[in-house]
Amino acid sequence: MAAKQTGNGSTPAIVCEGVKKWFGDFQALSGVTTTIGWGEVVVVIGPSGSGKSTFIRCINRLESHQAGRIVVDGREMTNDLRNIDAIRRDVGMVFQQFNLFPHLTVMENITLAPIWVRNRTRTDAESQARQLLERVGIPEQADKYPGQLSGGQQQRVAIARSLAMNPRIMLFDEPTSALDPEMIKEVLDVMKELAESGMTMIVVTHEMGFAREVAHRVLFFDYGTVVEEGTPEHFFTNPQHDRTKLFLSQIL
Amino acid sequence: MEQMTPPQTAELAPEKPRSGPWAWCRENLFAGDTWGPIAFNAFLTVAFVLIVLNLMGFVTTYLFAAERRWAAVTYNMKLLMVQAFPQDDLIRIWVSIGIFAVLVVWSLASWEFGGQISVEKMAQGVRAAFVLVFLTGIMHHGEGAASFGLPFLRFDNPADWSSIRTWIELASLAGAVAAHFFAQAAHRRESEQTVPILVVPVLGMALVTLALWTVWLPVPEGQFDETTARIATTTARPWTILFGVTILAYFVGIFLHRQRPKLMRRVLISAWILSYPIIIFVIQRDPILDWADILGFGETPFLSSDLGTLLIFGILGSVVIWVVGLPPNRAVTGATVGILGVIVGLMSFAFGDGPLWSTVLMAAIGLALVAAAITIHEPVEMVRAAGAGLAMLALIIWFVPMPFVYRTFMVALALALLSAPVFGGTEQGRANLVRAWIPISFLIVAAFLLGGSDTSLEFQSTTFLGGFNLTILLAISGLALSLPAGLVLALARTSSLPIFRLLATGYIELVRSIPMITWLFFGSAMLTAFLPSGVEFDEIVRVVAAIAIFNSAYVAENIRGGLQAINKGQYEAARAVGLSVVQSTSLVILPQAIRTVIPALVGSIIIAFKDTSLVAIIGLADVLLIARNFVPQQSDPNFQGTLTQMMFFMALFYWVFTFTISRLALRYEKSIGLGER
Repeated sequence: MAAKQTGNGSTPAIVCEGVKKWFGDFQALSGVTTTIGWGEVVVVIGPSGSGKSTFIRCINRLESHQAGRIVVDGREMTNDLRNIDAIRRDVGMVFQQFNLFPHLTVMENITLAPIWVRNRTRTDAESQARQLLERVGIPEQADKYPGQLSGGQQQRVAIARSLAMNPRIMLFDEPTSALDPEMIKEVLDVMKELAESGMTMIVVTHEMGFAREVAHRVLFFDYGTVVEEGTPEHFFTNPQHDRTKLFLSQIL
Repeated sequence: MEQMTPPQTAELAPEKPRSGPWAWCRENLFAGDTWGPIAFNAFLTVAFVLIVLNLMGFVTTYLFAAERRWAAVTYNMKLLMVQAFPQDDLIRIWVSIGIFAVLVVWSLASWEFGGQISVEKMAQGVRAAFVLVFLTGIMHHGEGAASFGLPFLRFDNPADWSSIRTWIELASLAGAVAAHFFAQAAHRRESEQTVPILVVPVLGMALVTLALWTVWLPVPEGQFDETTARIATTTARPWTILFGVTILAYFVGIFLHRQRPKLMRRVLISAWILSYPIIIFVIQRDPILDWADILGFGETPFLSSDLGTLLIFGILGSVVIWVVGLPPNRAVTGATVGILGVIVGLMSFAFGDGPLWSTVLMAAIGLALVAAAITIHEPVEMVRAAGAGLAMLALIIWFVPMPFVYRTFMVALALALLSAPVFGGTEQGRANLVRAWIPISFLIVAAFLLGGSDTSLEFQSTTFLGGFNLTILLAISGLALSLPAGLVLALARTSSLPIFRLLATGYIELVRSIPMITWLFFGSAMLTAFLPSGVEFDEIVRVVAAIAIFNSAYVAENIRGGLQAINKGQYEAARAVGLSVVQSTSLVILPQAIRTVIPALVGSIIIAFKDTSLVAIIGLADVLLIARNFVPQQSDPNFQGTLTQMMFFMALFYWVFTFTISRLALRYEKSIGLGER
C-alpha cells in the first residue's frame, strides 16, 4: 500500500503500545499493541465485550487509557486538553447511533464545527458541505432535519459531518449495526469510496464482506487484546488461533 | 436510490363524510348501538351540561345583580394601571405601549405570522359562543329567574339590570341563528372560503374602538354632572391613535420585510433586547425631560450625562472586544492590553480614597496587565490573562468608592474579555460579541436609571411606580435576571467540578426551601446589610433581586431536567468533531435541553408573573393591592365595599395575560416542531 505522505511523513498514523483500560474492576483493554500506517484501512472484529469499541474510543480520547502509550500523528495522547483538541480535529469519528444534532438541519450539522473550530466563513463552509453531501449521495437533503431522514441517510450525513473537518484519520464504531439491512449497503458504499481515496481508517464492524473486500489488515479482538491479526485472505482462509476459528465458525 | 416514487396505482384514502350537528351529537354525546348505552350516555351528557350551566348561571347572576357596582372598575382604571403616575406624564406610558405594539406587529410581519382561517369555522365558533351565552342566561338565578319558565321575557321594568339580560338573551339567540345560517351558506359553497387570521384581531380592535366612542353608561352618583358618560372617558383618544398606529405599523412592517427580510429580523431581535432599557428610560427618566442634560451639553458634564456614559462604555467596550476578539497579531493585542493596564493603574490614583490594600492591588493589576502585554507571546493567552486581571479588578472595586455604574461596567467588561477567546476567534464570533456588548451597556445604564443611587444619572423616584405598571416591571425584570441565572445554576449543578456542583446544589436547595415572602422581606429589609457599606439600591431593585433569587432556583431545576434528557452521545459527537467543552455545551447541549423544557419554563414564567402580587406584603402597591385595599376603602361611597367586583375583575385580568402567554408558547412549540424532532 502506497503510504499517503502527510504530517511529518516518517511517523506512522497511530502507534499503540501496551494500552490498558479498566472500567472499575473490569479490565476492558489488557495491553493492545499495534501500529497503523497512513492510508491503511484496518478492520477490527471480535465478539461483543471484547474491547473493540473501547479501543477506538481511546484513540480520540472519548475514553482515557490508564497504562501504555497512544501516539497519533506523532503527538502522544496525554491529559493535556490542547493536545486532545488538536488530535480530535484530525481524527473524525462515526458512531453506531449516528449522534447527529437533532436541533440543526443537515447543512448546519455539517458546517457547525468548520465554522466554530476551523474559523471558516459560512459561505465557504456551506459550499464544502454541499460537495460532501454530493459525495455521500444525498445532496438534496441539505435543508432537512435529521429526524426526517432514514437511518442510512443519517449515517451518511454523520460521515459527511466528520469529513467536513478534513480529518486524516477516520474511526468507525459499528457504523452499520443500527441500520435496517437494506440501508447497510448505501453506507458501506460510501465507506468503500472513502477507503479508495486513501483515507486512514479504523473500522469496528460485523460486516465480514466489507472486511474481506476493503481492509488491508484485520485485527481480531478478544478479552481486551489483539488475539490475531493479518491480511483478510490470511484471516478468513487460514486463521491460526483457536479462538478466531471458533468465532469465524459461528458467524460465517 | 433514495428518491422513492410511490406506485402509480396508489389508492386514495376514502373521504370522511362530513357530519352534521345531529350526527356529531349522536356520535359524541349520545353514543351507543342499543338503548342501554344510549340512555346511560344521554344521562351523563344531560347531567354534566346541567351542572356546567348551573355553575355559569351563578356567574351571570353575580355579574348582573342589581347591587353590582362595576363603575368601581371603570372609574379606577387609571389607579389600577399606573397608580400615582403624574397625570401630565401619562404620555410616557402611551409611548411605551406604542413601542411594544409596533415591535409586536413588526415581528408578526417579519416572521410571516398568520395563515388563513376558514369562514365556516369562524361562523361555527361564533354560533357556539352565542349558544353558550344564551344557555348561561337561562340559568340566571337572580330575581325573577326562578326556573325554566322563560323569566327572561320580562319587559316590564326597563331600568332593571335583568332587562339588560333580556336583551342579551334575545341578541344572543338572534346572533346564534344568524351565525348558523352564515355557516350553512359557507358550507354550501364549492370552494372553502378563508380569510387571513390577522383579520380577527383587526376586527377586534375596530369593535373596541367603536365601543370606546359610542357606548354610554350611567355615571355613579357624585362623579360628574352628566348622568351618562362614555365607557372610556380619558383614554378613548389614545387607544384609538394606538390602534391606528398599530395597523399602520403592520403594513409598514410588511413593506420593510419584503425589501430586506434578513436585515429586518436581525434589527428586530436587537430592538426587542433594547426595548426593555428604552421603555424603562422613557418611563423612569427624570420627570422633567431635559434633553440638554441627557445629551450632555447641559449643566451635567458630558462624561457624566446619559449619552456620555453610554458612549464611553458602549464604544470603548466594543473597541476593546473587537480588538481582542480576533487576535490579528501580537502587537495590536499587546498594545490594547497594555493600554488597559495603564488605565487600571491610573484608576488606582483616581479612586485612591478607598482602603490602602485596594489601591495597592489595583496598581498591581495594572502593572501585571502591562507585564502580560510585554511578556506573553500567544495573543489568545494574553487575552485570557487580561480577562482574569479585570475579573479580579471587578471584585476589588466593590470596596472602592466610585460611581456604581463604573463597577457594573467593569464586571461586564471582565466577563466579555473572559469569553472573548471562547466565542471570538472568528469574524462572526467577535461581531456577535460586540453586538451583545451594546445592549449590555444599554441595560446597565437603564438599571441605574431605575434605581442606582450614586450615579450621576438622574432618575424619577420609584415611588411613582405602582399598579399594573409595577407588576409588569417586576415580572419582566425578575424573569430577565432569573432565566440566565437559572441557566448558569443548572450548568453548575451538572458540572463535573465538585466545587461548582456543591455551590449550585446548596444555593438551589436553600432558596427553594424558604418561602417567596421571606425572600421578599430579605430583599426589602435585609439585603442592604449584606452589601459593602455605602452601596445602596433602591427598594424596587432589591425586590427585583429577591424575585430573581427565588425564581432562578426553579428555572435551574427545570433546565437541569432538560440537560439530563440529552443523550450522552450528543456530547461525545460534539467533542469528536473538535468543538471545545464550552462550545459543545452552548451550541449542542443547551439548545436541545432548553427546547425540551419549554413547557416547564412557561409554567415557571406564569407562576413568576402571578407571584409578583406577593410584593403587596412589603408595601409595594401592585395592581392586586390597589384592587384589594385602595379601591374598596376609598372615601367615595360609590366604591366602598366593592371588593368582590374588584377581585372578579382581577381574576379576569390575570387570566387574560397568563392565557395569552400560554397560547403564544404553544404556538412557538409547534413552530419549532417540539416533540417531532
